[in-house]
Amino acid sequence: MNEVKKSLNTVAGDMTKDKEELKQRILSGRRKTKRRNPFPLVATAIVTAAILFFTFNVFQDGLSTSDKDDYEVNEFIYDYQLQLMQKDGNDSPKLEQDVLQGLLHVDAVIDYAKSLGYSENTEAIKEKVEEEKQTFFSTMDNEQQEAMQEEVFGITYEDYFNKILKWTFQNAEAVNWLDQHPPDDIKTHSEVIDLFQKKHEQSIADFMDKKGIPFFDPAFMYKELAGTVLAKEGQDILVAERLEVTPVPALTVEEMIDAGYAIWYTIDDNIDAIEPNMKINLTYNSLSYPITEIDHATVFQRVVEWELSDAIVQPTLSEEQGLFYLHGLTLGDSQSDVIERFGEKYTKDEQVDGSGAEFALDYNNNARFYFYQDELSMISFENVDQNYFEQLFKEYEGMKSTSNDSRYIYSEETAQMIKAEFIPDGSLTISLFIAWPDGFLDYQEFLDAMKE
Amino acid sequence: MDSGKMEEIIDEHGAHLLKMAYFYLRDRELAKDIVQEVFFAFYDSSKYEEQGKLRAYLTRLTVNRCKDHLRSWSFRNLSFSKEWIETIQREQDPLILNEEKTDIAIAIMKLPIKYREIIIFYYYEEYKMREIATLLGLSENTVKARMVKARKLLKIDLQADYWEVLSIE
Repeated sequence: MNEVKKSLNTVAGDMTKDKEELKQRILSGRRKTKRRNPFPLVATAIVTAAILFFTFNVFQDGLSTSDKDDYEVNEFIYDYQLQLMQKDGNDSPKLEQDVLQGLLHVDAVIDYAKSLGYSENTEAIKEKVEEEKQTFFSTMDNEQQEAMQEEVFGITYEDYFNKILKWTFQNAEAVNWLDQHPPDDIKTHSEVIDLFQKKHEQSIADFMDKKGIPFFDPAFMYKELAGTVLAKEGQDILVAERLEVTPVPALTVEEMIDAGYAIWYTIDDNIDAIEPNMKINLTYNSLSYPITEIDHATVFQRVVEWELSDAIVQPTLSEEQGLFYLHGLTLGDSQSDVIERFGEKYTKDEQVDGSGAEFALDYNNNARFYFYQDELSMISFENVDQNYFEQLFKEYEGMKSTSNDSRYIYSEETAQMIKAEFIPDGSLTISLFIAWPDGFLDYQEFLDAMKE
Repeated sequence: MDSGKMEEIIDEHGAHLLKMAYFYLRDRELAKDIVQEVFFAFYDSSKYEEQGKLRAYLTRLTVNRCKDHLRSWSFRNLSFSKEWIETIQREQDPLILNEEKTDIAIAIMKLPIKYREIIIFYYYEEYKMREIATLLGLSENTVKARMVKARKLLKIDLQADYWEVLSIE
């Protein structure tokens, strides 16, 4: 027996017991399957859809006054799904929005398929529903049926099959059709949902109004990831969703994408600051992927925010005319210089007492940029890679000094100083500031030590 | 067909079909349901004499039903990616479940179905490329292309020595 076969047999395990059970079932003529209760399956399906969020910013601009709309949000499915998720202990404050989003996403896909020529085979769907119904009923006796119906779901089985299950089959048919008839101009889920909600905004708004559902926060559709940049082409970067990818594996770009190892992301601004091998944190639109599943389709997720984690863990250091540059930034630079380099994912902190600054831009407590009169007055990085910095320090040929747990690099020309401090917990903090005599207690002593 | 004959057929092919269905569905209970349906369909039709080798015929029925199931809404929307590996660990005797032995199979089971089935038929069923093409209704070139891709995907997931096993055989 070959090794592959042995391995597969090990994983499959001994089927003797299963075979005997099967034999009993067949020989006794019991056409009973151990099919799972379809309710949770459908719930899972809708929850999955609900996780995929979409934008609803049109509502923030006010309601449209479109003409009569033949679309109506299916209230029955909405109520049912909401109730299921509540019973499941989901107490998210945006639960109602999630449920509606998931429902509209499914309807949008069906609508999109129809706009491309798909026509629903109602008879076939009806037959499939009937088949499921028969299978389901054959597995349960009356007592069980009543108990489940009353206690668990709160809807009749007829309603479940004729409304909920039918709807899931409608969606499955539409998705299959789209897979088989991919349009030349493939739209993303985001685009399809946007089109749908614009087309039916009045009906949807009416429904939200009726149910008291608040407007959607566009941030719902965003996801975050930390990864490594593997390649860059124009406005697009290829990112592997992991941080330990160094060096870049010896695979072609196509192989990496095919293997699901990396995905392309489109970045609209400041892409020049990003280079391969950098580590990056992305916030992207999770629905900006194509509606059809086509082999080798290149997916471009649209990035809304990003920051280079690399810049903080391993900031570059350079010196020009006595000015130190930490990852391309030096003292005196503007806010926009910082944002251009590190992205817009900062918080503005005005509690910066003792620093002599007026405010600071804080990047997740890992990097802080202090400003005085709109000029960068101090830079501070925490959790810097110790080995990386030790190497930088070793290679630096200008004025430098070492004490027990600190390293100093100093420019006499500009009085700029980089201080690296090893914290007892093992992390390293580095900061860049001006070491004015009156702001630095042991200035003269330090300067003498440097000169020695 | 009398029940004695049916029992004989289940004894001979049941375990094999259960394994095949499991390789497609990665779910033991579901595999049982599918194979049960296959035997019922077979029992009702009793046309196996016309179908050539019984094992191949039943395998084809099983594969088709598994694929039908994989296309269904409920299956498409369930995430088994981690669960089925946990199920393997739970259901199998840990003493028997030698991690080294299962690495190759788990990597295969993680493949998308269109690549997984080629590997299963080639290495597990020991079919030739042409036979796989006939059974799955594909061209021989498609089967070969998928085999190349499947091996590439496995290479990423497997350590070098396991990968060699696939390259040699």
